[in-house]
Amino acid sequence: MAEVLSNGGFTGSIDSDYWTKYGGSSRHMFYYDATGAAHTGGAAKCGHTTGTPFTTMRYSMKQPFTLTAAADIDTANMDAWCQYNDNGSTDPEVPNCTIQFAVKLRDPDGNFHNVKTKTYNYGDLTSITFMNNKDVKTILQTYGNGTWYVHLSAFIYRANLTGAWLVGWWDDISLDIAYYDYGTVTETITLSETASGVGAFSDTFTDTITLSDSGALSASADPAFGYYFGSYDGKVYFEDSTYKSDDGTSIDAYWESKETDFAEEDMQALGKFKTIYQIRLLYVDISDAAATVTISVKPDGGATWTAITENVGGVGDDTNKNKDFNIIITGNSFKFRLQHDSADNNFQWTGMEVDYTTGGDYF
Amino acid sequence: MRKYLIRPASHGLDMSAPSLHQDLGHADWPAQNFKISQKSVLKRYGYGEDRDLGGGIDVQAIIYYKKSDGTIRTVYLTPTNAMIRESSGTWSYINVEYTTGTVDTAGVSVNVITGASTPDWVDTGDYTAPAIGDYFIIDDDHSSTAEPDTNWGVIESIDSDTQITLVDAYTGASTDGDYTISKQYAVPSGERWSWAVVNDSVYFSNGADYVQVYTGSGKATQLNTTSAIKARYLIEYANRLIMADYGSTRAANGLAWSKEGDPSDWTDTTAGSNTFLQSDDYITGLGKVGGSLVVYQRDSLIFGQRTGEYVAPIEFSRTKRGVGCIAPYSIVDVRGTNAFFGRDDVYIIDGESPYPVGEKIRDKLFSVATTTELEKAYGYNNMLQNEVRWFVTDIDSNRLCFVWNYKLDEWYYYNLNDAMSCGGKGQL
Repeated sequence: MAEVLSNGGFTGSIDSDYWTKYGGSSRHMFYYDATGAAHTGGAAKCGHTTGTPFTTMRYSMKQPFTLTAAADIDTANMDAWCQYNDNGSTDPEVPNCTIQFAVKLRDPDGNFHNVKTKTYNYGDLTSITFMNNKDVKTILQTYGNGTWYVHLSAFIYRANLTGAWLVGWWDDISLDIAYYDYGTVTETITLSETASGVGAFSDTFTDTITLSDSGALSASADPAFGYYFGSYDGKVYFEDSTYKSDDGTSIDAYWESKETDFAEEDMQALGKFKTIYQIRLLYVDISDAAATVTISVKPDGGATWTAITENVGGVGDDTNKNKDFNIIITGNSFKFRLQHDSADNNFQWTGMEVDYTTGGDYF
Repeated sequence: MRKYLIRPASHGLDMSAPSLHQDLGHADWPAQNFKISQKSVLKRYGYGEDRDLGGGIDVQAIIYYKKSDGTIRTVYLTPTNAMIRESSGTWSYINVEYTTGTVDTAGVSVNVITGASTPDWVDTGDYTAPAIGDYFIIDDDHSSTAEPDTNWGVIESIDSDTQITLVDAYTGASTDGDYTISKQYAVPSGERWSWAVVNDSVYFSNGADYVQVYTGSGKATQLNTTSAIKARYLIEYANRLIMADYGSTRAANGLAWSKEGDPSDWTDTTAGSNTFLQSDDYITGLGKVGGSLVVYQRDSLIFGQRTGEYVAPIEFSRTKRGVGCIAPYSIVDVRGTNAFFGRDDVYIIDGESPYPVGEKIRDKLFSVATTTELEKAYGYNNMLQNEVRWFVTDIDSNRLCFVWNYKLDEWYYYNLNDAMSCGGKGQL
């Protein structure tokens, strides 16, 4: 097993030799912090103390490594630790501030591949095992030999911050690669051929072929691309499934049904009062954090929604589950709305089952 | 206890009145920010900032530019600038530049810049000469890895062949030496760039500037200052560059094609032009559907076909009147055809006939925006999600995003937190 990164433990050489900082401006770069690490040794620190709110401060650095035998990789894993903290100010905006840590690999063609990206909300000092034995073998082997880069980023979203400061650290970054140990197989093959016919003759030749086992492969893939937005205020945004928010702002997603008196499925409900007692939500548990979901019901074309909010899922095992929302509401016709407003996770649902009873004639 | 089932959840928006025969899973307005995937409802993808080009800049186009040698760049166009993003992540401007001579009086706090070695800054009629609004910088102060470099100064006036005045005092430390003036483009208000990747180069044009060409190195240049002028629409067809609605004197029904294989030559025997005499209408865009070149007018579709003849390569013998395209930038390539905004619906072209696909949302689409705003709609195809997105500004100046999933034939509405001016494919 070979450690291919230099100074992932940060001993004071961020600016030279190993890590190249980029992005942001001269005020917004990683810098060495001797005492800020969760582990022995230093860390790479970034932070916001002053400046204009509603801006994401971007800190990035990169380090190259060279692959010459990508096809022979047996294992390739990454570890990383990170920390983040605010100064404990009573600034009310601190809980709305976030830091997004991201580790990416850039292949020899210059294309980026996400290893892990995760966003955290600011609060007390928190140390995180960001990655432990994260498998990157497939990425390395798919894009092959050449000069690669490890890119580390920390994006601090400052919300409407006025008084507090926000910091983050990268600590103990490693990329360990182990290669297969191939032997050499030598084999001798003897070829002989005999021909006979009128004026019989024979011809014999031998040849020796040496076989040596080699796993040399070269794989080339079409360069990767993605989709971007351009905005009226000069911003370019990258759209991707890894983003759960609109550049830090929560995405308010809601699905709203047509007005229904249930007669499409139950003709006996036509023209009757109905009382709803429960709504069962069928969903897929795709997020490793519980999603806050609100189901609302509005009867008879009125203006008022009756809402029930529950935390749904949170295991992230991609299995089909259900959650009951208990609600009692009476009417002839109803509209249903399902809402998920979040900056941190996704939500996927597959259906709703509404439990109701019928009553007297609607008039 | 009875049960009412909405299962599976497999449909997007449908503005039709609820009916007994309508699938229960359709959503009503203003349902937003969801998509349908494998018979389930998902929150749409979010986005994160990739680059800040500076306030007040309207990003109009994002172009994935891949050359036959494998190099990839992303080209970004704004009303005044063209930029590229290299695969290494660095950015640079590719605007036409003026660099003749040197300067010998500049530096911090200086507004008036004096030239040396005959910069010849005044040259009336020459598009490449410096102009008011162009940007000035001394090369020693210019860091291409820090674009937009803060030392760029805006030119207020061209005083003489050897003197220009900046709007604000120059901020760079250098006082003399080589300099660069970056020409600013001037896309007309309410209009956008048109572009085509042809023969390993990017061609881009608008109704005010010469057609530009960028070959992948250096800066953009004028394609042909005699013939390729103010072309509002560009496309590749029959191994030629095609331009429409062009000319120093605007030919709104004019279309021209370059020499075969050489977009810079518009006078060769294999180059040519055509003026559509159906003058009660005018060209609103170009597209390709199958093997046909489609010339869009507001209420007609004109189909061109290759003839195989060297000197008359395209014939336009078929016109379908009654449906056309009112929004030039709504034309999107999707699955071998085009999708676009007509006067009353969203259409695709099936063979050579327009086919409406927007019935589920068209009442809402055509009610939230005026005709003028609909004509400025911009669309693009996100092939990774099988979605065509159209950005429309409503009567309250809100930027709405109507989404058509062409694989499922479902419609969505995305309410994005930021006012988006364009979308497109780019390198990672």
